Amino acid sequence: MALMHAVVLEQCPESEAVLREVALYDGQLQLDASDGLPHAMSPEDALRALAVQVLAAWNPRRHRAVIRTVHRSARNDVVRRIAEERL
Amino acid sequence: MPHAPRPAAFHIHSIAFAFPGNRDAIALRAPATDRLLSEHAEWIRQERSAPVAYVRGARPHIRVVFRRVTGPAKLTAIIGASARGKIVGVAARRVQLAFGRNGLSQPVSFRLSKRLPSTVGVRRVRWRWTGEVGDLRVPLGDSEHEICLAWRRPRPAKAWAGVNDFKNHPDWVYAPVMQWTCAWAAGRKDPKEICDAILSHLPASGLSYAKPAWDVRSMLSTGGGYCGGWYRMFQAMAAAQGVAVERRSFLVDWQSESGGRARWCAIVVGKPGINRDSVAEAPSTFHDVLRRPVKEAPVRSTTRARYRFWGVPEKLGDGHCVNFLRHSGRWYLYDACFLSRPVALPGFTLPRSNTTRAIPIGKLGAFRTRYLDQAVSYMLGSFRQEGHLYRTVHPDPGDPGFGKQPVINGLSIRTPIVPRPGELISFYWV
Repeated sequence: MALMHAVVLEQCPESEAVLREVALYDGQLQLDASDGLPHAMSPEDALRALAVQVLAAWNPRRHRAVIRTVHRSARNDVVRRIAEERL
Repeated sequence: MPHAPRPAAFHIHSIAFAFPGNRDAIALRAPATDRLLSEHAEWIRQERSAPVAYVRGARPHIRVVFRRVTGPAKLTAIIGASARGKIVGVAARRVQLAFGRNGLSQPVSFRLSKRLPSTVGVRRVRWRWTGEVGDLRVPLGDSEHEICLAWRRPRPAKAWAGVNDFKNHPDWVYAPVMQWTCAWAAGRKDPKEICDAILSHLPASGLSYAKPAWDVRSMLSTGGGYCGGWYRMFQAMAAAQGVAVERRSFLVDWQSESGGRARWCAIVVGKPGINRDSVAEAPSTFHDVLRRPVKEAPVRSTTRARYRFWGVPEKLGDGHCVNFLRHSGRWYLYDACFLSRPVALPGFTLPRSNTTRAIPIGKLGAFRTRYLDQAVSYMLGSFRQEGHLYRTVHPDPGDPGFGKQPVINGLSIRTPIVPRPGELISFYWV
């Protein structure tokens, strides 16, 4: 999550590429839970939700395809809703 | 001298309850494999006795296969099963059995002798099977079954699963969920009674808070989950009894303000959660404000473990997840993670799911006074108090210790004393 926050600080091609990968990442993360895990959704979904929000805020037209893919494929309905409302 | 015909000897081999096309039965799924229990006969002699489920008051058919031991490969018999006391048996009927080379008969349809009980519950039955072959009455063996009786037909799994992974079979329930809820809601007669019973019995599931799981199936295999799993679990449990409940997440609305201030960065909960003795988070230092007037109150610093449901500045982040039931014109909140009783919410209207606009808490009737003030111990933000800026860091990449330094809690204000006029507590509801 800390790395995500670092990535979203500055809009640049590299950050956008990372966020697109995060949004479309389909695996599972192994995280240190000592500082607490997200409660409302899995860490993967929390990152996906944040990536979609940032991409949509930066350039919704350019990232429309990624957001649409998240909307279609997300298993978590909160993530799906976030993507849907940013299409 | 001709031999006398050998007496027929056969016994029950298997009994299928939720076989394909049987609309009475409720399909149960094993969480470990995600396969239907009815892929094989639910009862197989000396091998298997899986639970079965029906809507209370049903009078279902079952399919029975018999195994030949000796005697002819074809025979006619009157077969049925009785049970002790008033428990339902299997209506006797004349059947023609044809045993194949493997010794098994064709599946034979039977119907229960009367309706199953009309109340929700779990019934354990032992059937004593007998057959009349000619003048002979022969015992065919006993079978034992756990029959779950649901209040109504379960609601489709898509509601709580979010997606339907089994498009050809949308209606099913995870077996433990059906077993638990039928036992817990035994004798209950309406949606509110059923939901209340489920909530108060939840600890008996053994599932606990703060296990790394966020959906029903992984909660069942992991032994618990976070609230994102629990509100699905509660919805799945109600759905198993045919009761529709809503679920909502209220997500932290982190708004940055001038001078480094921010409200709110996280909601803070001090309770360990269901089936836990301690909070599953490392201790951290909190700076609490406990008294009114908030602006003049002293800050009490304390290091302890509390859950923090973190927001993200100017975005949707984390939050808490709960269920709602509308009953007799009133909304009730069910917090499966932290409360064992429902909360009546006069004046409350369930917010529509909206990820772009947060809703001020003042618009939500008694949600704050009846629920938030009780369940959420503190609201965490960045504020100036006693001349010092208590700034929340989660995590701040601009910090020199970024990556090494732990998260920093700003000012945690006890929720009931957050000033009401202009309180500016708002959440995204999804």
